Formats: sequence, structure tokens, C-alpha cells
Amino acid sequence: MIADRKLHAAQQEVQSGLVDHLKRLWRYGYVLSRQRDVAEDLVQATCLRAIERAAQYTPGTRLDRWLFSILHSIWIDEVRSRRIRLGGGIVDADCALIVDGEYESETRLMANQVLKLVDGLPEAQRNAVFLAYVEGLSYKEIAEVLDIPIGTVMSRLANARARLADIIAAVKESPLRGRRD
Amino acid sequence: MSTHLDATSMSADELIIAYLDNELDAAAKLAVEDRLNRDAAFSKRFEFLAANAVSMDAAFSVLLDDAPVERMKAKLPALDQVGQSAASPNRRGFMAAACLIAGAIVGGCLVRLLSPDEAASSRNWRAVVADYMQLYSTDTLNNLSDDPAVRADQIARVASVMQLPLTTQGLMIPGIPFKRAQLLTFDGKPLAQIAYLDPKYGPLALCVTHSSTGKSDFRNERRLGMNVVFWASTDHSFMVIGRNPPEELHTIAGQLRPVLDG
Repeated sequence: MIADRKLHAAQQEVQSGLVDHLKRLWRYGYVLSRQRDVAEDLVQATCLRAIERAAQYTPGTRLDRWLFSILHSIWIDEVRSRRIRLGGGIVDADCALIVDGEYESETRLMANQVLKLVDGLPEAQRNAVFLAYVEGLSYKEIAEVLDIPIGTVMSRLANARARLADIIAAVKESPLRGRRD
Repeated sequence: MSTHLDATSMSADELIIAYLDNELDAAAKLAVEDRLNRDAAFSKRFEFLAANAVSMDAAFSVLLDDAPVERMKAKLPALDQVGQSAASPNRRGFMAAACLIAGAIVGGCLVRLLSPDEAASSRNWRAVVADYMQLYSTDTLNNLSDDPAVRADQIARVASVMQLPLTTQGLMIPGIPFKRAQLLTFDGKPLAQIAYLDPKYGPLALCVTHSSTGKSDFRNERRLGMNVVFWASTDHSFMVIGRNPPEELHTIAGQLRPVLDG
């Protein structure tokens, strides 16, 4: 009986919590796959698996982390091997653009500059960078989501930051940039 | 505070990034700071990586609005049993706006997502600073550079990141030599530490972090055997911490406050 009740609580929490995380799951799926429709499929598969495996979720812990790790493993196990061929690091222009018109153009421009930088990173680095600096996960949490040693997380982040810093430094030095008027 | 990271096996870049990401324990942090003072190449690399970071939060929060939420909701399994769930709180809204204003691409530290623990963090930053200060001894601060140019440079950097009108002159405390101004991070936000060495009571620090808790007047507390005077302006939280008696810290805080309120 108690086990049943626990399972019920976990299912309830997973089901009711899913809706709150759809946007962020989609964004993670998009960062991994760089394709909007694939991101949508990933979210759907994640939700399905989360409900199926709700018993494995511990109520009261971070549901978003748990969902990220499901999405990531689906990406690795299924979608990536069967359906996705990764490009060479460049996203289609319309994929990288922020389509929503409610922001001012400079905001969109800056957002796309940042997205382009992150997009240029190898997938493993991009993944870690996103989880660390966008989703705010600690190194330990990233290691859990990606199922890799914490030392690997650290080296991926350090390599990514070094690479980004080189690009930013070069951009700062470029005389063609920086005029806003 | 401890992590499973082994600082002894880390490369210079890994140490620097883990330091900037606030992933090192207090002892490893101190070791990094010590190395910064001794190892010019390391210090240069630190500056380079810290100065050329990318703030990602704003750019990626714009992306959230592209998510086809309604379509995904419609595809949710067994949604009818879920009931109406409250809209997801936009935790990053405030920070996103701040980043956009600051400029998304240049300068500053990598700004991490404001976690739901944020409210607690803003209360706990003083505990973290106290933790950290507890490890300081007279020796920690004794061998730092007295070069006025170095100090002016440190202060200018802190002033720029913290957006405060700090000057060397304004930060002087009579009878308590200034030792160093440096930037640390707490929860992904910059935390400035201005360290002094009181000949009688030992290390003393003024620490500053960005906050939006609103103005508040001086309050005292005691942490780990040290005294703390803390207050807040519209945009910053401040604390002075040391082993000096409370009334003395109060006087020091009173001298610094007009400078900090800008």
C-alpha cells in the first residue's frame, strides 16, 4: 500500500510538472539537435518516457534535472543514431534566428551572435556549456545528466571557454565591429 | 562547498574556469588566488578568460519564446489527468533584462541562471563570505603588491564590473592598510572583495554583490567568530567583516558607505 502511494505521488508529480518544463526541454532539444522539429519530437518522447518511468523519479527532487537526463539519453540512444546526421557546426540561418518579432532588433541581433558562438562549439562542449551557463547546473549535476565523470565536465567547459574567449578577444580587436550608432 | 574535483590534477584553464564558476572549495580557491599573485602567466591567462567570457542567459531566454508550447501540450500523454498547471514562473526574466541592457556579448563574467535558490542565496552570501574569510590569515594578505598602479588597476576592474564609482582614495581606511581588490563569484554573480590588513585584528574585508533586495540600513551580526556589519543600496548589498569589535566595524562601514553609495 505504501509503495503504491509513493508510486502514485511520483506519477502525479511527474505528470503535473511536465507542463512547466516543456519550453526548457524544447530549448535543450534544440541546442542538442539544432533542429526545431527534432526538438519537438525529443520533448514528446521525453514526456512519454517520463510518465512510463515515473516510478524511478524521487518526489521532491529536481524534476527538471531528471527530465533533462531523459531527454539527453533519448537523444543519444535513439534519435541521434537513427535519424540525425550532424552538420559541420553551422546552423541554417533561419534555425539560428529568433523568429519572434516582439523583441527589438538589437536584442535579436545580440541573441543570435551568442547562439552562433555556442553553435560553433563541438556538440559535447555545447551541451555542457548550455547546462552550466544557461540552465545553471553545477558540474556535479551536469555529470549526472550526461552520465560522465565530473572531470570530463570540467575539461569540456574549460575547452569551450578557452575557445569562446579566443573568438571574443578577436572580435573585440576587429575594427569593423562595435559601432552601434 | 566541496566538489569531487581534484585541484591537483587540473590544468591551468580548468582551474581558472572552475574558480570563475565557483566550483572550487575554499582551500582550492585560496590556492588559485595565491598562484595569481605569484605566477604572471597564470594571472594573465586568468584575466584573458575572465575578460572574454560570453553572457548567454539573455540570448537563450529569447529562444524559449520560440518553443511551440501549445503544440507540445496538445501532444502530452494523459494531459486530461494533469489538470490546469500553473504557468511556469519566469525565473530568468529579471536577469535576462539586466543582461540585455548590459550587452549580451562583451565583458563581464558568464552569468549563470538565477536558480530558484536565489532568494536563499541573497541571504546566504554573507555566510559564504564568512566561510571564506575564516581561512584568511595575516600571511594571506602580507605579501601582496604595494604598487599603486597595480592597486588602481584592481580597483578600476572591480568598479567597472560592480558598477560602482570606486577610487583608491575612497577605499582607504585610516590606520588599516588596503591590500587588494579582487573579483570572486557567488552563484554566478560577481562578488567584489576589498581586503585590508588591520595591524591589530588581522584580515578585514569589504564585500559587495549585486542585489535587488532594496535599501537597508546598517545591521550587525556575528559569524564564525567574526563581526559583520551589512547594509544595502538600491542595487548592491555590502558587508564589512573582520575580527574588529562591532563598534569599530560600524565606524569603518560609516566611512566607506558614502563612497559606495556613489
